[in-house]
Amino acid sequence: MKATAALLSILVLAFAALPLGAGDYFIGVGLSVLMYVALTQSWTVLSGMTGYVSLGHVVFYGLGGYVAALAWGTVPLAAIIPLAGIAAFALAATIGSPALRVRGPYFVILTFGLAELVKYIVIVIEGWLGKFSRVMFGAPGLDTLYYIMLALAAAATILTLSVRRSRFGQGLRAIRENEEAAETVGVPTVRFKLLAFGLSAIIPGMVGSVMVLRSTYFEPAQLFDPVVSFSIVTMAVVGGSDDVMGPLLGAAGFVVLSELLWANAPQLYMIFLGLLLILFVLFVPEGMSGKLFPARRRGAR
Amino acid sequence: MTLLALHDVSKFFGGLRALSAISFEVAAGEIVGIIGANGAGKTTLFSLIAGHERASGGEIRFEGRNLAGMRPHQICRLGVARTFQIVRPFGGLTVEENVATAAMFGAARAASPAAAATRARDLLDLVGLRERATDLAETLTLSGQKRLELARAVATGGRLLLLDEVMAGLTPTEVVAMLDVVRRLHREYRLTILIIEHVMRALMQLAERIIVLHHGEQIAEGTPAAINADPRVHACYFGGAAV
Amino acid sequence: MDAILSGQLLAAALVTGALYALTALGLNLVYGTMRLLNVAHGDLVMIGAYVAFWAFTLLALSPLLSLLGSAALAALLGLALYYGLFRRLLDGGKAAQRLEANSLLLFFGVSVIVQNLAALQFTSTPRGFQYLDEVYHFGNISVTGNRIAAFLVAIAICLGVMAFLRFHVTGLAIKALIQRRDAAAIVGVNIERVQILTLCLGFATASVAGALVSMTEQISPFMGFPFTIAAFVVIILGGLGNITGGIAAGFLLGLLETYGVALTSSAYRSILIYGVFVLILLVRPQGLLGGRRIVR
Repeated sequence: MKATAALLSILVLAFAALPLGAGDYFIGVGLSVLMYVALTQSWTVLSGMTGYVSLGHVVFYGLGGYVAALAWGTVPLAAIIPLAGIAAFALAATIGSPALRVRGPYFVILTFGLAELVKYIVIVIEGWLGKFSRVMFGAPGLDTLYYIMLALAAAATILTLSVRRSRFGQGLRAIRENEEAAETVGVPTVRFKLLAFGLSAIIPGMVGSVMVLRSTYFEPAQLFDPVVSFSIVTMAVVGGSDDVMGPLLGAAGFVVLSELLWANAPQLYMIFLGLLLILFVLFVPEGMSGKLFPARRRGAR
Repeated sequence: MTLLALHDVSKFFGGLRALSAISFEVAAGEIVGIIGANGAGKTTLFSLIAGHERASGGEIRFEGRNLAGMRPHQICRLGVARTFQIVRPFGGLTVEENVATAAMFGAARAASPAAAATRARDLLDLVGLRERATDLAETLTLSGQKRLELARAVATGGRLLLLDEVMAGLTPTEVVAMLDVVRRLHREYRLTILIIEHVMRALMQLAERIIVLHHGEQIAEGTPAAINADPRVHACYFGGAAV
Repeated sequence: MDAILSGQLLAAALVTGALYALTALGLNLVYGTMRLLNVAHGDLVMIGAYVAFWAFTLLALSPLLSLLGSAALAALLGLALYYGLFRRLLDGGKAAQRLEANSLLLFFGVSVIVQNLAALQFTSTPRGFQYLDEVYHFGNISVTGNRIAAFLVAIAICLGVMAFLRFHVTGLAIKALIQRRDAAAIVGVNIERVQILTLCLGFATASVAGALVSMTEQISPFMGFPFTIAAFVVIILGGLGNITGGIAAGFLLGLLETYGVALTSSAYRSILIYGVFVLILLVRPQGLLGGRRIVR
């Protein structure tokens, strides 16, 4: 516990110091890493802990971005970001009840389908409103957004840590191992699953709003990109979803990889992602963090 | 004091009648056995009591409270614990975590992780799994997993324990050991036990009273000796020979 | 106007329906026998389409002939995947059970790889070719020759497979496997051989559907997704593992989609498909379990 806290504090300080010395390119890379840390940590609160794997998490990210696009200009920045989080939570709370009754691989494809459905609904709505894309003028600068994202990544990590060490987290683990038995020993499974789902949505919503302001451009088809969902899952699987360090490893690794490959050969990057996902699912299900820190799996999480 | 009371309980799955007109009571501290051929409705009965299924008719009362419409975790919190016919351990958790989780969420509602761990270790001692405490539950043998299931159920702090074929698949030696464990738990944790069993020798030694189910109906109820001598029970269940 | 529209729409709906039925047929067979949710199924359609495209462009070979090549390639892929990946998932070991939800991720990974390999090779620009595009008139209805051919071939294959399942020993074995896996083994069905055959058959039919689609639509590396979703919707609507039901449901979806889009607009097409998809999963989660429960 102490070691984890120390390590994380150092990382926060390191990331906080980055904009002071580095140019815009590196700040942008740092921003991407922080974004995926925030997204992936939040994802593990649901999918790592309960075993309900979400392949549609971009829906919360996209919804948060949409809120920002709609509210920008009329609502101050300090209100937009929490608003995006609330909207995402509301969506999770609404679809969570029926959705979480679906199990196993069906839940996975359901989340994928839901994300696509919401995407097309937003496209249609934007069509009704006569907008095919939106541009944000006077959006905050890179540095501001970077520090907001750092806060979100830190918050997501703290959230994951807290859940893991809590009674709530123990209940989630029991649900993952055997849901029916969990209910039999007193775990309120329906309520817990829904709460995990909601919690896993808030920060991605806020992240989405930040990213829309970063690009100052909103287009539904571009924001609700399934590649984001896929990347989150791959980062969690490769980094390891059973440990708070996992998403950090996964996010850092993949962002670096994408920086190297994306500009010249985006398809190569995707192929690499796919290969790694397959390899890790088959051979290293505990992920890199599981391999590097095996003792952490039990006892002090 | 009556701990559990069933009155005219029935269960239909569509057109299939799984249980009908089941009525009996269990007093605090009793050990009551339930026997019947496969498909007689025994596990369905447990599912109804524990809340996994809803009764189609009749009333189930635990300590006077009607259990209708309650979810399994709520019924567990009230004080009903059960084991499953096919064991359902939390495979990826350690043996101790399995039991501690039950202590945290069950009727006993341990005040802290430390209290839950203590309760877990005590129970593991009793069932003989203490040395395996830090092993993953999925690495246990069947006998070990059955004892784990038992420890986990008792850890919830329930006053009523539903045991579903806890002896199934065990060797004769393991059956004797399990019998001993059940007796000790009954004594030390002051449990009331409702036990489904096919292993007759074990049940006859354990149960004070036996209820016989056949095709979803209650056809007999009485002491082991009385049941053994009952011609109807013989015809339906024992195939004509005395045990 | 109504009369023409409805006749014209009906023709379009039938062609779309036939292609959906054929695409879903393969998925139904694979899911029915092995309970594998192959989310890369639509990419088989894409592969078949590209084989037909290149065969026509480079060799001037008719898609109606090159579909055999598409089928063969897909069958080979099926074999490769079986021995490479599926074996591990099907042996039912502890690792396989834990992989339940993760198995989907595996297929997703394969899908991403296949799509991006195609994009790398062929670029993402949509392509098409002209073949059999003379227009035929039946009363008020005008249809191009390629659509008629696609329809006829798709129907023929569907009927052929139905007959195979009904009358041929191996076909009966497949049905047995779909209905009761353990019982099939007991009565002497060679599970592994039937699974391999079904997988190859399922892959081949999807790929043939792709070859047919290539005659009527533009193709691109990422065209597979909508077909995958449509195939899932169809097999769920028709009943998992129910081959006849799936074929009927394919036509139903074709009708729903064609008339739905005509009444609203093409932007709504995706909402319709994904909406039905999500709705079915939400409303009938038990319905998806078919004859076998997912053990968690």
